[in-house]
Amino acid sequence: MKKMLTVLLVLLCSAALFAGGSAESSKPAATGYKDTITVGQGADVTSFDPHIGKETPAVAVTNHIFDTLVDTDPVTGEVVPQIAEKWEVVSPTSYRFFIRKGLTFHNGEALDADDVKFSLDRAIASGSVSYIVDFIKEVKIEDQYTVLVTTKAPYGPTLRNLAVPFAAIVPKDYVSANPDILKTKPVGTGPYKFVSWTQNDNAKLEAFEQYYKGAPQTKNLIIKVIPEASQRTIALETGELDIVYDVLVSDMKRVRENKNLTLLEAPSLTCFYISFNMRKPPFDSQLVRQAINMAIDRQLLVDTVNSGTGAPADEIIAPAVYGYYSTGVWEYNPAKAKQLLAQAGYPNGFSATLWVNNNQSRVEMCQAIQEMLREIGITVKVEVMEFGTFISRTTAGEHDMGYFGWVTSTKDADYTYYSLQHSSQQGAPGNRSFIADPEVDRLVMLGRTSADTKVRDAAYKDLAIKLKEVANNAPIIYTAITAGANKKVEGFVLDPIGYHRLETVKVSK
Amino acid sequence: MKPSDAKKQRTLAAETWRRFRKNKLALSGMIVLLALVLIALSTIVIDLVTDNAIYNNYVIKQNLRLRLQGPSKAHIFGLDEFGRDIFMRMIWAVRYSLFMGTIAIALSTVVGVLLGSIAGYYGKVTDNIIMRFMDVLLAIPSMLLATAIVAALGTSLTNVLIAIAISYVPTFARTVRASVLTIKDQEFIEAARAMGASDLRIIFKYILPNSMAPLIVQATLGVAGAILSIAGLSFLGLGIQPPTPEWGSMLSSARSYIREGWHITVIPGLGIMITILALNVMGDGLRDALDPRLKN
Repeated sequence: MKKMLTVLLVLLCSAALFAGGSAESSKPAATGYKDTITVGQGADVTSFDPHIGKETPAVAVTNHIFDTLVDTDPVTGEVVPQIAEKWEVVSPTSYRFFIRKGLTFHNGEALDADDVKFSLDRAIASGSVSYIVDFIKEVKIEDQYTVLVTTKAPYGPTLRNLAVPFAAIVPKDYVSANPDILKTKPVGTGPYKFVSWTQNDNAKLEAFEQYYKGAPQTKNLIIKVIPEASQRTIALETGELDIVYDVLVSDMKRVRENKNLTLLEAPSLTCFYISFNMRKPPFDSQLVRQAINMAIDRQLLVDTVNSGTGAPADEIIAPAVYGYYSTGVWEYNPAKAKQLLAQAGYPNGFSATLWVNNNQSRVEMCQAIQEMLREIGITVKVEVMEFGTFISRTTAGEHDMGYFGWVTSTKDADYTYYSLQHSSQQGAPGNRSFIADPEVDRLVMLGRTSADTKVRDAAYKDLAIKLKEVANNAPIIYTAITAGANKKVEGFVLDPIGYHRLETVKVSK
Repeated sequence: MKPSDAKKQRTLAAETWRRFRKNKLALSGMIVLLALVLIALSTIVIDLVTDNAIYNNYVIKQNLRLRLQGPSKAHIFGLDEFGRDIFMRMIWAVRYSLFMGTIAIALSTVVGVLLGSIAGYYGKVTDNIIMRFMDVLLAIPSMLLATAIVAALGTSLTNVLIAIAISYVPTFARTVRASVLTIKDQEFIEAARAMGASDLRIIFKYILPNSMAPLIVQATLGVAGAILSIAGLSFLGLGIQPPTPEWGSMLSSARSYIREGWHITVIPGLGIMITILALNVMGDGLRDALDPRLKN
């Protein structure tokens, strides 16, 4: 009996092998490109509703399904047309958008001004993403293909905010019939349409042939969820995946050295920084804050702890962000740092805590900084806590120093400066250094309320210089956006924001 | 004097040692442990004498440019992910693993002995209340219990000690109670009671010394378990905080570099393994030596 079973098994296996083999050879080899791109990322889609799911893993998928009024070019960072084919700035508080004619949603509905108004109003009303569009006072329909957007006050970043994927345009009739429908059956105007979603496993998309820029290069797009970063790298090595997002720092070398793979890197919009709690001594002293800034060898951190990816930070906004002005990375000078400490009245240093959430690469960064500060006599205790606790306790201002990361997701300096530096934003909104400086406030508001790029540029330059002097934060590193890809992948461009559009990508066989 | 008389005059300790000595494996376990104790003590002395200079300049001193360097003449165990000398860290870590394990077990032995002897001696309701509570504690896996306690109290050296001590109390309480039950009805206890000895005197003077043997064995094996628990908690980030060297946390922080350098995970792992093995073979040897059934 056992023997028979074995024989049967062997037969079955060989039959399967044979079938597999023949299926492979019967595929058309004419095009030379695969009809499916398989991508791996670390977490699953939180919601397919673009006005709810704002987390990177969600947008990495929904980004292909929905379009926005305008877009930002991943390479140049310029604002470019998308659903609106052109626009005009009528006054500092009103923008007129001319909608591209002949656009249809994946379900066949035609797109017009009605849908645009409905979508923006829906985003404003959303608890999750309204902060990106709540500068809008009213969206007025002027005719079938023209809308007028008026803002509550002059608001410089208007266009860039409308280019953020959370300001997606959704079909009015489809969504009004069932407000929850987008969570399970998303319909948009983007280059790919939704096919299926298996929770915690994969999302499948299919090319939208009528896309206004022309159909995507590859017919099918599968985005798989593989939480363990090293597993993703292995899946890339075995060819199971064509592209993986977020390669672990310790896996980068392997991807670089593998002759079949390429490691793509681009500067991100993320900065990691230490916030000093200015309400607590000795961090109320500007000299102490400057001394710590001077004691950190940022280039060394980038080269070693971060395996050579990313760049030393000189500000809390990254160079790819509009409004960035380089004040130069803090000079690494422990001797001078000691002098500053002595001037501040701490010739023998002091003890303090540095809080960080339980993410291994962040903890490692803090441990290296701990050692650098020990060299100038500051005894730092690194305390690792769970993310929720970390956020709520730093919001309450219980920390001495906290290690934070911040993504300027609108690519506009206002997004970060207003939240992190304005005195009205202390605590939960982001200002955890508890800075309250009238001059800083004035410059932040000047940049925020002007639509004139010259005024804004000047304001952000002055602000950057002022903030370096105040040194309420110690910018540490700008991370890099990384992705690993098979060498056969063509046309893949990294977007500094962290989610990438794949309609131009094709994979040769 | 006949040889048999000489044999009878040997104390329990001498008799145990005579039998323990014959077990070569247990003996080598003891030697390893003695060496570890010596290392731990000398690092403590060095720290006191040099005012932490060696600790600051060699144990937690980073050299990021040389990170993950393999074993060499200058650094026989190589360097870790921050370029710290793994050999020095291993040596300085001995005290945490060994002494914290011992202190934790000492704590739980004291509490366990008290609870166990009270429960065993008084019986009835007292026994039921104490032992049912111990059963509840036993029902929760000790590692899980320790994790929960540390998570609730916060991560610090003391809290880790308390957590591990609590999680080992039930084992000791049960062991002691069992031997108290077998001893308390014997004639010499009755004699003591007849002479008017107080309960405390009976428990501490007559019962406990006679139930020492299983306790010693249990404690030796317990230390092994406690060291593993400390390493485990540190591995989960709940134990000893960086940059203090501890084998479990060294292993934990090294694991994401396993593909880049074998030495930074293998060496702390070996350290833990050797210590636990030594404690276990010594504990087994002690049990065999103390077990009355093996008496010749």
